[in-house]
Formats: sequence, C-alpha cells, structure tokens
Amino acid sequence: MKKKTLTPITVQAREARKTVAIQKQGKLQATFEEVSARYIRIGENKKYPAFLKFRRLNKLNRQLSHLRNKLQHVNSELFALNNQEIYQTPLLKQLSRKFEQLPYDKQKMVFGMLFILPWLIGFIVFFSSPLITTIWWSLNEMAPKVGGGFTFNFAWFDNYRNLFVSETLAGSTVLEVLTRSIMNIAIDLPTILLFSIFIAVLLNTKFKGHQLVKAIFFIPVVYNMTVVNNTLSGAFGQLFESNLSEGFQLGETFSNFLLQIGIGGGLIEFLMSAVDRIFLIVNKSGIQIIIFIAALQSIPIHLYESAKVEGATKYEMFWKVTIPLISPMILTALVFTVVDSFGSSEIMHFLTVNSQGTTMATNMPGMYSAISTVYFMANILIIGFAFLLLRKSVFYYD
Amino acid sequence: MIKNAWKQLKSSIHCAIKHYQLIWSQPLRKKALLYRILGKIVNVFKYVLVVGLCFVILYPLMLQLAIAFRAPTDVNNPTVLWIPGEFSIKNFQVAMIALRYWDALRNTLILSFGVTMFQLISTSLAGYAFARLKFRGSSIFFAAALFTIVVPQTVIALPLLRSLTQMQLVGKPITLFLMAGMGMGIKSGIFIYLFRQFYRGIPVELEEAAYIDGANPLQVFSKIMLPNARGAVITVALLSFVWQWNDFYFTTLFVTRSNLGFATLTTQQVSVLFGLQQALTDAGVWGLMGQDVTKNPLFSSMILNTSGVLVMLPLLVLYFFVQKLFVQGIERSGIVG
Repeated sequence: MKKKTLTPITVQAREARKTVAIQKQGKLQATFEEVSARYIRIGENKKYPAFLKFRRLNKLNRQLSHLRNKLQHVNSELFALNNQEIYQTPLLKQLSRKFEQLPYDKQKMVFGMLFILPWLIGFIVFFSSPLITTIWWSLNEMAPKVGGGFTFNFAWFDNYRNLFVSETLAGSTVLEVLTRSIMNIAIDLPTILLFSIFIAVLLNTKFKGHQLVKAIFFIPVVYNMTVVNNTLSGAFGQLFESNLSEGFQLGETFSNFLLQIGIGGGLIEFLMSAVDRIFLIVNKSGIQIIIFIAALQSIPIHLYESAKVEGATKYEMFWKVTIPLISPMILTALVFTVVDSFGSSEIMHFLTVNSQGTTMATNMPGMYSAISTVYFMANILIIGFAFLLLRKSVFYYD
Repeated sequence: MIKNAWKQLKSSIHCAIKHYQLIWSQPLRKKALLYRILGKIVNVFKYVLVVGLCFVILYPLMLQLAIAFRAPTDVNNPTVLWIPGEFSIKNFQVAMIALRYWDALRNTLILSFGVTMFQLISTSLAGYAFARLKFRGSSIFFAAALFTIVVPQTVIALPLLRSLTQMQLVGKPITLFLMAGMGMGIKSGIFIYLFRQFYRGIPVELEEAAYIDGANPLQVFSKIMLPNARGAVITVALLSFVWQWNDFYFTTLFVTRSNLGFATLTTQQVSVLFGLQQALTDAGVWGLMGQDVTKNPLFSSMILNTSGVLVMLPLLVLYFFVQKLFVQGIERSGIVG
C-alpha cells in the first residue's frame, strides 16, 4: 500500500490559528474567573435560602467544569501549535471527524435531513413554486406577447368573475359543471368506500380459491381507464351491452317493484345510478381495497379473541373492533378517492391537454390558472368537509 | 336386489329424521344446527357474489379480447358475438402499425423502469426519515408531503411546464426521471405515506440492535429496514410502474408534446383515439382489411379496441408474474402503524 504523504501546514496558517487560539484562551479565562467569583460570592452569602443556594451552586459548578474542559482543550491545541509538527487534514476528513464528534441523536437528525433533502428540493422546485405561480397568474390578466412570453396586467379577481359569469363549456357554465362534478363525487365516494370495505372484509377471510379471487380483484389496478372506458362506451361495447341486458332485466323489475311499494324516487335514482356505475366503481376501487386489506391484516388477533371470550357476535365484532381500527385508513382512502375521481371528472375538460397541445393554456393562461385554482380549492373543501365529518369517529390505536 | 336397496335407503332416511328430531328437541344443539345452516347459506351467497364481481371485473378484458380476435369480415355478422368465427390477427397487425408498437413499447419500458427505480429510492428514503429519523420541523415537512397528494397535478402543470422549458428540460425522458428522483413524480406523496406507515410498523428493537452493533442510519436503512419492508417495496414498485405506464398527462406535457419521436404506448393510444382514420389512411393499411372500411364505425372501434389490448397486454403479463408476490406483499405489509 502506498503511504500518503502528509503536508505540514504553512507558517501563516500556523500563526493565524495561534492568534485565534490565544484570543479564545483569553476569553475563556475571563469568563472562568467571572463565574468562579460569582460562585464564591454566592457561597459566602448568608441571606440565600439553603435549597436555592444549593441549586445555584450546583449549576455554576457544572458551568465551571465545562469551562475548565474547554480551557484544557485550547491549551493543548496551543501547546501543539507551539511545539509539534501539524499536518493538513483533507476537508472530507475534517467533516467526518466533526460528524463523529456529534452526539448520537444529532447524527440521526443529520441523516434524516439528508434523506429528506431530495424530496425537499423537488418540493420547492417542482411543487411549491409552480403552485404559487399559478395563484399569482390567476390574479393577472395575461395575453400572449408577440416575441413569446406574456404581458401581465394585475386585475385582482377579474378572472374569477369572468369565469363564473361568462365562461361556458358545451352549453353549461362553470358553476354548473362544478356542482355536477361535486354531486358525482358525493355519489361515488360513499359507494366506493363501502364497496371496498365490504370486498376487503370478504377477501380477508380464507375460502376455497381465495388466491385466485384476490388476483382477479387487483387486476383493475393494472387497467388503463381510458382504454377500458373507450371499450365499454365504443360502438362494439354498446352492441355487447344491448345483447347482455336482454338477458337480465332484473334491475328494471326491481326498481318498478320498489316504486310500486312506494319507496321514494330519490333512493331509487341513487341505487340505479350506482348500478349503472358498477363497472366504474369496481374498477375505481382497486387501491382502496388494497388499503383496507392491509389495514385489516394489521389488526391484532388478540382483540378478536378477547371479544369472543366476552361473548360478542361477529356483527358486534365488526362494528366495535374492525371499523374503529381501520378508521384512519378510511380517511386515507377517502382522500385518495376524492383526488382520483375529481381528476377524471367533467371539470377536467376545461384543463384537457390533447395531443395537439393545451387548448386554453396557450390563449388565456390567466383564465386557466383561475379555473385550476377554483378546482384545487373545491378539492380541498371537499376533503376538509369530509375530515370534519369523520374527525370525531376516527380512532387511533397508539 | 332393488327392493333391498330401497329398504336400506328408507331406513337410513328414517335414521336421519330421528337424529335431527333428537337434535331439534335439545335447544343448544338446535341453535348450533341453525348456525351451521346459516353459515352454509352465507357461504353460497358469498360465492355467488364473488363470481359475479369477478365477472364484472373481467368483462372489459373479455370484451376486448373477443373484439380483437374477430376477423374484419365478420364485423357485421350477427351470429358472431363472443367467440370469433375465425381467429384472425389482422386487427393486431393494423393496430401495431397505427401505434408504431415496438418503438413505443421500448420507450414505455425505458420510462416505466427508470421512473419506478427513482421513485422507489426517493420515496423510501423520505418515508424512512419521516418515520424514524425525526428532527425539529420534520412533521411540518410531512404535512407538506401530504399536501402534495391533495393538490392535483393539473393545477401546477402550466407554470411547471414554463419553468422546465426555461431549464431546457422539456422533451427528454430525463425530466420525468428527475421529478421521480426528487419525489415529485406521479402520486409520490402517497408512496411516501405508505412507506412511512410501513416503517412505523417495524419494531424499533431491530434498529436499536443494529445501532448498538455500530451501524449508521444508512446501513440500518439498507440492511434492516428495506429487506423487512419487502411488501411495501413490491406494492410501491408495481403501482408506480403501472401508473407511469398508463400515464398520459405527465408524459405528453413534459416529453411527447415537444418531442414527437419519443412516444409511449399510452400517448400513442390517445393520439390514435383522436385521429385514427387519418393515421391509418396515412399508413395505407386499410388495404389489409379487404373492404371499404371508412364507412363503418365498427371497424374503427375494432381497431381502437385492439390497440387498447396491445397497450395493456405487457402489463397484464407482468401482473400475471408478480401477482403472487404482490398479494403476499399486501397481506404481510400491515400498512397501518
């Protein structure tokens, strides 16, 4: 192995370090004397109550020993500077030595910061600055300039006013589209959540062929929704569907039956729309099923055992043990569902990017930003509302 | 002989009736019997439900396959519905040309593998830091990470595109890699959350033992936490691979729109959706079908479906291979901390 040649530090550097060390030594000496003087003063003071005195003295004593250590350190450095040869240490080695001198907790913290660093840079560069820019743009009237770029004209909330007053999409105003999207989510959200909890509970039990069924139930995760929707609503899809529905008209008969009994139209409408969406609901709830199965798996078995010993039925166990323990995950699935289904709702047609390019983005970026800000606000409002609704019933095990 | 058998049957039925009468007279055993019958009924109901839902899930797939293998000559034939009269791969040939299949497949594979790798590295590191290596203010950063889930990508797309154009990064796959590596890829926030929840479920004692043996956090992460978190790693890898594969918005906006040579399967599929007739006429492949197809909408629907099958096929094959691992990974994950 080749031995590394060490280069001694230069005379100037040695002098500089010496002056710094001497200064430090003087300062430390001064504070040491001051503190020790205070120590003596307090020790001789008879007015002090005993317990307070003891505490103060103890504190000062600790301070003193700390200072003494520091002084010793500086003194030994000075001695080395005066008498011994001192070699240059490479920067990396210096850093690693500094790092090793840190206490163990702080080392962990440094590693934590290092691990988060890539995410943090991405968050600043790719997330927060575009978000702020979008909000800023939505407050400006923007028009494309001739040489590229845009002209800015600060206009307070004009964009928003125009948006709600005059902008239309296929004959309906933004407000209508927004309410329709929100209504769709209001129907979808409970259905998807209930359905996926139900399926997760079903899949969590062991029955014959559960491996195969599980494999099939996670296929929607792999589906490309554009392709699937296109297949179902395309010319061929309709052909097949008409052929299928000739077979069973169970749904219609059932709804007629309900109407005759006299159950209100609203419920039937809800049910029928849910039945109509069954394909979409099944295909949309792949991730939610995954989340719930994982949650169910993590419920400790001893809870069920003790419930059984107490004489609880399965129904009671489900409502008193299972549901509270997966309630944090219900919240997670809810957030995911809202974001996911809002992302494919009608309001997205304002923001579409087809293969030719963005439609509104190139002409009126101000308006585009206003729409997307409204969209984002609506998103947060829905999630916040759901959070407030469910906050009390969520239970954290730890 | 027959008479004997009849006698035997009669006696056995008699026996059974007596047996059940005996059970019926004892309240406890009666209750148990009823429960058993109820359980059987519930079981049957469960199977019916499961099979029905499996049908619902597999229906689009079966539909697509049925359409894809249908010969162009059978397109108006009312007797052919599910099973094609004659198997033909003509649709596949045409759809492959329309999609520019092999080029697009290669690009998609490059993008998906790269993005998956980068996402895995960045999100697992960040998730571990949020779970165990806490420092002052790290909970604020975690809240920010959750906030990125809530804000849809469309909201920040336009300014992001502009700043990326200024950085001259648009039109290269490296942009997506960069974003994935910085933890800002498709739904990275969810992955960070999943990893964090997962690591919180692993006992602290394991880590402490490693620390006592003199490992630093990086070693603990790579040698203890990651191998224990195999379930989460597989889940996240599969999800990020699939989402990148099926992604249209990101890929079009940042890569394909300004670099038409680099098209993925999904972007090709969408552009075929918009301009199928034109694309096929340009490629001059209508002749392959042997009919005047421009008048019948079923033909274009057929080609679209087949191209859809071609887009999803590699994923389905991949899923077929990893599904066992995937299912096991979810089972063992216990994502809740």
